[in-house]
Amino acid sequence: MATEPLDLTPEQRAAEDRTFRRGAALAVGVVLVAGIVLGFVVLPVVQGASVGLDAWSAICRAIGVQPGTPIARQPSSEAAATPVSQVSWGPATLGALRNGNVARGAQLSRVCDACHGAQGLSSDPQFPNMSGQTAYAIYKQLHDFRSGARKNYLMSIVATYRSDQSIADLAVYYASRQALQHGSIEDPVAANLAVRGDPARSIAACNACHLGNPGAPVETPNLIGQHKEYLLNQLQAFAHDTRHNDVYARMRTISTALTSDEMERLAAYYAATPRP
Amino acid sequence: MASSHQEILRTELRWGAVMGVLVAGILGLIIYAALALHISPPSNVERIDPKTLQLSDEFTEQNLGTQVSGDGRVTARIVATQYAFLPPCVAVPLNRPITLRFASPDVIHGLLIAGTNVNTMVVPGYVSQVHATFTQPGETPMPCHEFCGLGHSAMLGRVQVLPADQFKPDAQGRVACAKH
Repeated sequence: MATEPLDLTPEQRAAEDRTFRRGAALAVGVVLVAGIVLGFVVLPVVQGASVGLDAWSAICRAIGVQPGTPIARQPSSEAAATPVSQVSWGPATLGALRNGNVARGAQLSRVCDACHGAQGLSSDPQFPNMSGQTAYAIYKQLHDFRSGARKNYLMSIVATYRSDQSIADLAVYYASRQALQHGSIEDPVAANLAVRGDPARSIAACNACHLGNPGAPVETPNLIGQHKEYLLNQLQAFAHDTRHNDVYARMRTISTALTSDEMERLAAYYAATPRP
Repeated sequence: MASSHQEILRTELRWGAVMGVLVAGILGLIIYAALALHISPPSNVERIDPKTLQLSDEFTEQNLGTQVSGDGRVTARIVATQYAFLPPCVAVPLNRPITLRFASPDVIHGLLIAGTNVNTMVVPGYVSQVHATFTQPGETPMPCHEFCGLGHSAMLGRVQVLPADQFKPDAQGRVACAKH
């Protein structure tokens, strides 16, 4: 095998390096110039034109010497806020809950005993069990009863004149208590909706939010061990729009997609499911 | 396997050229999409507080959906939340430029309307704004394409593209999806 010598004389190598350097410099220069032309001229001018921006200001904005977003000011919406709930999960609310006083909550809860039971577990299935519910859920609902976002002939009255801190104290008190242990039932329809949901009908799995999962909306209540009658009433109220304090219609949307048979099964399923 | 210095250099340059063409081709596609199809990341930076989104004027529940303003501009305001879009069905006019404005009160969502330039992330704290013209009548799905939690797979909105005779704003200029 005849091989040519690969090693070149220093002069040849120097000449070749020069050629390579020139070529590489040229390539980098071309890419740089093309990038500048595309990024600062072509794209801004063409895309700016589609929203009525003249070429010069489009270029200035691309370079960053002229401020100005949004590109096209929207017709500012004339709508006034009509929130379905006044609760926002800012530092004030979260701080009130963090500083919630369980002992004071226990005192305040004496008023609630008549319906919700001395242990926070009610004997009348119309009234929800409170013990073991999350503090966020209780805070949100009491706040909504007070503001009128949620209405109930008893709770709307009871919640009036309670301060934010009293609501928070009650919330942390009930959250600190033990929930009732229940048996369990086999219902493949309900279990499937609870665990998998039904994407074809845009029904997310109930457990995606209602199992105390971090990452879901913080105010989502625990459903496990709740009374069947209470759960079913709430699902029906959401579906008929008689209850509408769910922010961005999360539950109204889902409950309208459920059949009444499914609501019944889900209510029974959660009432009987033991806590993990 | 005679490899002269010259041959090695030629081979390197050839492969270099192939890579150059690939890179140029991909860049070309991106530039074409940006210029001809208007597919590009939203250039609009507009902030909005996610904690109080539902208390805000623009993204309050009743103001969501499609609205035709006095000057005939069509704006659709949509909230992406865990785990649904509100409104679940967005009515849009056929062959008419519209502005879509999205916001999220909770986590990062995303959405995509197949066959159009609408493809954006919805990041809490920002309004995602997309200009689009829908040219295919009928109903298209609008799935969330950014994993947003355990219910992500069921987060599926719809878009109804309505011809002019069916796109009828009410007294407030609002248009809702036709019922099936």
